[in-house]
Amino acid sequence: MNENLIDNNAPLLCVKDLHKSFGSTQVLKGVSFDLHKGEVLSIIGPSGGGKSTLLRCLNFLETPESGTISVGGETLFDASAKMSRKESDLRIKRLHFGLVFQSFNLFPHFNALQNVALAPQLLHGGNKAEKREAKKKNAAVLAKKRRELRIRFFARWLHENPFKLWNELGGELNELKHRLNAEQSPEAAKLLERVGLADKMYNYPCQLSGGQQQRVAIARALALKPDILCFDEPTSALDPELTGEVLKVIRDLKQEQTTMIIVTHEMEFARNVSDRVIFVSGGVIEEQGTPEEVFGSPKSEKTKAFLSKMEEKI
Amino acid sequence: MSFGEVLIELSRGFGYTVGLFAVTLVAAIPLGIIVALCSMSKFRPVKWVTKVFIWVVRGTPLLLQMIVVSFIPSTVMMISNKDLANFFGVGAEGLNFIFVAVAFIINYAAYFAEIFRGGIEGIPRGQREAAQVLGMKRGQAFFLIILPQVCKRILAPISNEVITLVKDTSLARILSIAELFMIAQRIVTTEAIIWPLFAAGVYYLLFNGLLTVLFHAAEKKLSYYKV
Ligand SMILES: Nc1ncnc2c1ncn2[C@@H]1O[C@H](COP(=O)(O)OP(=O)(O)O)[C@@H](O)[C@H]1O
Ligand SMILES: [Mg+2]
Repeated sequence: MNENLIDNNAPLLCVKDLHKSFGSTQVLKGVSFDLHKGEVLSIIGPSGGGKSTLLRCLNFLETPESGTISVGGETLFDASAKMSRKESDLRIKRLHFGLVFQSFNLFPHFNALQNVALAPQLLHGGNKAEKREAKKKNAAVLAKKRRELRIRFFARWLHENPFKLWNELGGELNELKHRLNAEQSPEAAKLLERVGLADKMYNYPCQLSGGQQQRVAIARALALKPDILCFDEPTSALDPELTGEVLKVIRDLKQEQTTMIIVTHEMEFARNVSDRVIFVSGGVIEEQGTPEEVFGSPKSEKTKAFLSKMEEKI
Repeated sequence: MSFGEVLIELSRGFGYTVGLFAVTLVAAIPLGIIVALCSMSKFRPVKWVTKVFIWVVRGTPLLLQMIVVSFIPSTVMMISNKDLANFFGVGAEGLNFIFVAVAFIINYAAYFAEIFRGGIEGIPRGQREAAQVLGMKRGQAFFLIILPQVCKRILAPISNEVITLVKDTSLARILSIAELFMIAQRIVTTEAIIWPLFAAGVYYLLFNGLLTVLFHAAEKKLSYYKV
């Protein structure tokens, strides 16, 4: 009980007075907000307002000129203090955040399971000797299977269409390979199940629809168990009929108390799923509050104009 | 000379051809990667020196470069070719082969570098950023995410260069390397028969045919995904 109270009072994420410019264009002109654990924050606003830049700053893909970012009381970034900007330090700090891109950015040469499993494997690595042992065991299993398939092939190739037979047996071998891979990364397999892609684990990104790709990307981001998961217009690159499946996954994540920051143009969705909404325009937070406050009775003229424009579009 | 003798002579020349081809390929590809990375360096002087190097090497004939390389030790560095040959422990012909190989490696490294640069810059920025936000190190991102995709992208242009390289080896005769084409020419003049020239053509054709098959196989092997 007590712990909950403390959790609820101290915000998980504190962003203070973030400034960022590219050359002479100021993109963020002092952005500050807090986010509590388990909360969902939606960021809405016109194109070019600085929403993506804000998320990229949180993920240390851009370096702000001033301001601070802290997570769970630890200051990750403070422009005024002499902090290490070394890549290796940034790398660790980044892990507090996950980022789902508008254009998915899956690794095309890896299948869905490998996309999800790769980063945790690289990060935790596991015991090298153990891994070598597992590899050896798998190789032995595969070698045995190959031998068995070869015997079966030569027993039947004169009686059946040998090409068809070869393909059939090859398929069996692939299945076994896949099963061994899934056994090696059970957590990745579980995450893909969670986003409804248990039957697509071995498909490559080019074999998946946009909605499926984005769900793999969400599973990939979840695999590192970030404190805060950020989405940059996760459905903007999707055909309208595919947005639903991605939004459903995000809704499910909210059910599981995932702390999220979602940049979106889906107003209906933002209204339903968020605990708080921020309206960003021209590099500043024009308005923030509960969905009821921002959508129901906006105070800023800019917010009103933006919301009515968005409604016209529908 | 009998038919068989001519073929044996030609095969001996073909050995030099393949040797020069292999040496150039093995050295020019890694050198090309290094040159490509330098030409994309954020450190301006390195970048510009590399760009000028590529400009000069691609902008002048390989023939000229071979001759320049063969003259540099004796004229600029004041080392006689004899001392140099002794240093490497080779004869005059061996030294010429080294000159030719060096010129070929430099020339092809410059061409490969431009192909690599195009391939690396063609990978969407999002790939590296995705690797970054997943906590990968620079090396991990380059070798596990970027490089495999680059390999697939550059396969076709590289195969072009490699096939050109096979034919370019015939330039080596300028420094009296007894490669396939030179042998064929020599037989044609001494024996007053024309067919060895065509036979040499068949050697090139078969070699390039084999390379084409190999590149197709590689392309097929990488066709399981799209970049
Ligand atoms: N790397 C960059 N270099 C220069 N300008 C940039 C860069 N990234 C973004 N901008 C500019 O910053 C502004 C805000 O962009 P962005 O954060 O993408 O807005 P939003 O996501 O709200 O549409 C835009 O005017 C854009 O042109
Ligand atoms: Mg944006």
